Amino acid sequence: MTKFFDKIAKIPRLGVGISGEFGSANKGIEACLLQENYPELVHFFEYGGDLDRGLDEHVRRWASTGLPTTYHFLDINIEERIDLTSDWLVETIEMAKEINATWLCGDAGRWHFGRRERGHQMLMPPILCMDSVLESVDNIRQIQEQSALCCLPENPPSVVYLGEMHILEYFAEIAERADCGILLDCAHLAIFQHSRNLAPLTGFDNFPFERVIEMHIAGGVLKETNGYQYIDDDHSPEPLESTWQILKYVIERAKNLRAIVYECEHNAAEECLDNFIKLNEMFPCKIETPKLTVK
Amino acid sequence: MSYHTLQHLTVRLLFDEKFVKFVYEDPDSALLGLDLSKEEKAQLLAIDSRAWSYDSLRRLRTMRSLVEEFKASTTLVLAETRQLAFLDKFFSSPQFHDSIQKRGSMGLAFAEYLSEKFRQKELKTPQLADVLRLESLMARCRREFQKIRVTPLPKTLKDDLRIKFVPGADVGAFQANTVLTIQKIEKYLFEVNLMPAMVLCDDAPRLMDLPAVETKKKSYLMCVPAANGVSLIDIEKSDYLVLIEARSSLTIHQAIERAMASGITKSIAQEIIARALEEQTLHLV
Repeated sequence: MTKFFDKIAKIPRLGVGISGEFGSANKGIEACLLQENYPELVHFFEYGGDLDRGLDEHVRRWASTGLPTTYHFLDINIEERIDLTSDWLVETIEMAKEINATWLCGDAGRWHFGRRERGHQMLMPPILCMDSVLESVDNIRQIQEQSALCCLPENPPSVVYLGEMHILEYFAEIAERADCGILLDCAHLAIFQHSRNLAPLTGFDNFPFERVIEMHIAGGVLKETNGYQYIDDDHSPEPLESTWQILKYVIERAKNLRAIVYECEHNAAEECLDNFIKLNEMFPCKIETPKLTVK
Repeated sequence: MSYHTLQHLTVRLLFDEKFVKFVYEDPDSALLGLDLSKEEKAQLLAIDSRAWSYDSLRRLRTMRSLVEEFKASTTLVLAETRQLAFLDKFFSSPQFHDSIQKRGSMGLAFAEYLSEKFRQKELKTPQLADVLRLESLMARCRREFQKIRVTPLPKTLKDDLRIKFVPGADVGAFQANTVLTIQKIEKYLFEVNLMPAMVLCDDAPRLMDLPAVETKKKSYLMCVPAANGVSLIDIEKSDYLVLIEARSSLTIHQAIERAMASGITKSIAQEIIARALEEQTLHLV
């Protein structure tokens, strides 16, 4: 058994969670409030953070309840060795530990072009080639070593993907070589398959399902630019049919799956409740609520 | 590695439709000199060219962040040209493409783009030169700023010790009305921000009566790291003349000698250096 499987064996199932980032609770769904009202539907909070904005009051409030959190980075180019600076590592680990994050995760490609500075933010997928795999592996290993937390790379969304590999092959290679888990974003995978005219479940042969620890699901919409059709990852309430299809297929096979995040925080809570119920049916989580003691 | 080249290239394609056209029509010329394999070129050209332009607001969104940093300069440019396109053309400029392909700073490339337009007399507002230089100084300092562990000062500063600006600190000399001009622009922007749609009106406030460029008098400013980035402080001419030498590492002795050559007395130069070290504008290297 590798170090990763040792670690993951000790991590309990987190259940179904909701995402958020700096200030998102002020504009969309407030995770704390949703959890208070629907404790059976929302079990953990995934905070999307970057060094520039840090932690917000809302995630600190969630963390203070003792309910689980995960830390999703929004500012590191995993496929670029030069981008992983010691400052980034130290400060990110500090933030993740401050909210008692169970693990680190995030889109593994590029969150910015060039150096990390204002105006450079733009999420781009990795170039799907072996050189990029190897550089990503180095960075993930270093993050895992220094943080002592699992680091789960996520397949990013895009309209354009370059490189000769299928995105599932790319992430399978990373996971095996870095001895890490995978965050499989079903909506992003549906986008990738559409961009290459592939069926939603293409590429799962030889895929290490046992390394899928977390999954994301979110709404998307088919758009067109100058007659060119693509799926926009707009995080609207309703996931596409192909996204559901991927989720169902992988849940049945990912025996170490610990968490599913419904990325819906920009919508109204009532638009998302049905899908929270559906996700909990597909991936039930029995959480022991802390018992009140009266002196 | 060539996949990094490919990644930089995708950014340029996502920003610049003219460049997309060039790459698809004449790939050999457009991609000349780039470290790309045949396979990578083929992968790139296999992408439907229409896919690159899916985000029609990308340039405007990015311009917003550039405008935030070069607020006064861009206001002067727009007041003069009355064309948003003038700023937008930055994304098709050699400065933009070069900064992306070489993993440079887009903000500093934007400053260079405007500066070149001024040098070429495509921009003529006389206040622009120093306003842009000052905003560029601050932009550069923001990027250079990094927390460092400053070496504790010894009880006696021997003159063979080497000194340098801490990252994010620098000095500049500007025509005396530069700050006043920026303040005037900020006041104007504050007014129009109260109701942005007013710029559509013929009787909307206009940016007028800017302070004249003071050709003889100068103001001396120092940019220093602050809690939230960098801040500017007024300094004396003597401070400027001494401290500007510390842009690159040199001994205290050399700094004093150079200051004396500019007419500063030895004791004043020593005092300025000691104070800057105590305030951690300079550090021992």
